Amino acid sequence: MKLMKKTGSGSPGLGIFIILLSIAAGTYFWMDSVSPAQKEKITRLEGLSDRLRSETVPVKFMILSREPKEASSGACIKARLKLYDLSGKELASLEKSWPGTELFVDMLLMPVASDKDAKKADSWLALPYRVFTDELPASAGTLLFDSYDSAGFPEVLRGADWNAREKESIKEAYLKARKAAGSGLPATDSLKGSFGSAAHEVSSLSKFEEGVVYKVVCRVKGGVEIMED
Amino acid sequence: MADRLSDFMTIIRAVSDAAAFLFTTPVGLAVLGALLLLAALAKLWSVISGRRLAAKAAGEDFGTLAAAGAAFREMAGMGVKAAGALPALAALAAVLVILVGVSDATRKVDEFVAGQKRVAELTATVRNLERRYKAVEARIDDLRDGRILATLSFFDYKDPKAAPRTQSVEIAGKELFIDAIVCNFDYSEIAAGRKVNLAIPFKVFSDEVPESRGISLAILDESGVPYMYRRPAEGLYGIAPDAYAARLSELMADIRTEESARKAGIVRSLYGDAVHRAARKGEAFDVWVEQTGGLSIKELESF
Repeated sequence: MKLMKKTGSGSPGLGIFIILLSIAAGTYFWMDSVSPAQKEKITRLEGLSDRLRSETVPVKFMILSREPKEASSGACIKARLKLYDLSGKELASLEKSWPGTELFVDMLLMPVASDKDAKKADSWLALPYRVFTDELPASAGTLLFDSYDSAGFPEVLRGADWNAREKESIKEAYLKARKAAGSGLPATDSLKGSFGSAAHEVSSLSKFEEGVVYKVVCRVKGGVEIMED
Repeated sequence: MADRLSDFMTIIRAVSDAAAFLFTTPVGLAVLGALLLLAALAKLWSVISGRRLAAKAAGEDFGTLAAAGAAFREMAGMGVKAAGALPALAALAAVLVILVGVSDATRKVDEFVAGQKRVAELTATVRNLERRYKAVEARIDDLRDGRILATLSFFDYKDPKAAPRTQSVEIAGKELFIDAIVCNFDYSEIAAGRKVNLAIPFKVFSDEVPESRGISLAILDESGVPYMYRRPAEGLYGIAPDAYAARLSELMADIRTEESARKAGIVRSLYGDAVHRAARKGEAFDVWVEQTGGLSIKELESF
């Protein structure tokens, strides 16, 4: 009876305090354990967001002059193109005239897996393919593959930390594309999953201005975009 | 209420920071020790001065030994008082430890909430950047005498169950080009989900037929809106269907003129993009509008 009385008269405040303290301590340690996981998730998402926006600029060009269409001759565009590697080092320069009014800069996009754990190709490597116009068919355009050859490796992809296996794969794909294009076949025919993207001006909408440098921006997701440099 | 709680937490954190500084850092401990030493010296000085005055008034001698004795007695008294105050000091220490704990815990909760907000923002950004819209599906029906026979399908998102509008094309060549006007908006607009990049396929040509002699595509509805940008009423959020249709028509008209596109200020790039691949009989591929910019081709089997 005495014992029961003693137990019943225990301070409820102390019990509540201990419960609250336990909850607070539990919350504190739970937060402590989830914080690293949360930070890791933020880092991963930031990395993914940056990767999605990552880009390369293998080609820049400038329209030097335009000859309007006349009775005796057709319209003509004169432009200068420069090719760059991944670090932005200039590799080659090309100055030429093409018949037509709209310039097309064609890129070959090859699918690759971003890392060895990726189950399928999720990124694209871009190689400058050819230049043609609205009046010059693509098959008669100026091929660019030979302009950046360095012992079989496409120099426009120099500057990244490729391992030996990746280098070999790139060389092999580049060789196939060159061979196909050199024999008059579409380069996209030689590489499974690849496609071409010919970015160009649209006369009625946004014409490239003479003397302005434009860059061909290739996105890791495969899109090609032309922007003022 | 929230403001009061915030003010209260500010005071708790200030006290907690001060306590943590004074009791856990070498500089804080040095400051605390110096303050205690100064207080003790001031007290001793006061006691010795008082005793000296009292001795002078009584005409007694108050030498160094007497002063040292008075100081010693006072210090012993201080020690006894400090020992008597130990329970109170222990209680104070306990309160300070709890304050620091509460302050740290609320900080961690705040960091966690801010982290969750950041995760939500980044997730939305990544989702918006990863989004893509199918613009055209191309099926190569036949390759005959150096000519490509293909069927192009344009999808109407307003009525996904409806059969896509199709157009058959026949063109000389080995490679099929699908040309589109592409309007890429500023990244901040895309990442925040306020805009989606647009592409209007308008022509088909080939490696042997130049673009100027290509085949025009019929993909606009009666309002001049491409089929793939039409949306069902229940698929629109925060905008009335009529307003969406009107805005879309306006936007489509806008991007057809360079001046209005520039005026909009949010257009990053406006150009033509002819995506292409070698034609193989029986193969099919999709043309997608990427939200990171530009168009891409994916094989149907990939999705």
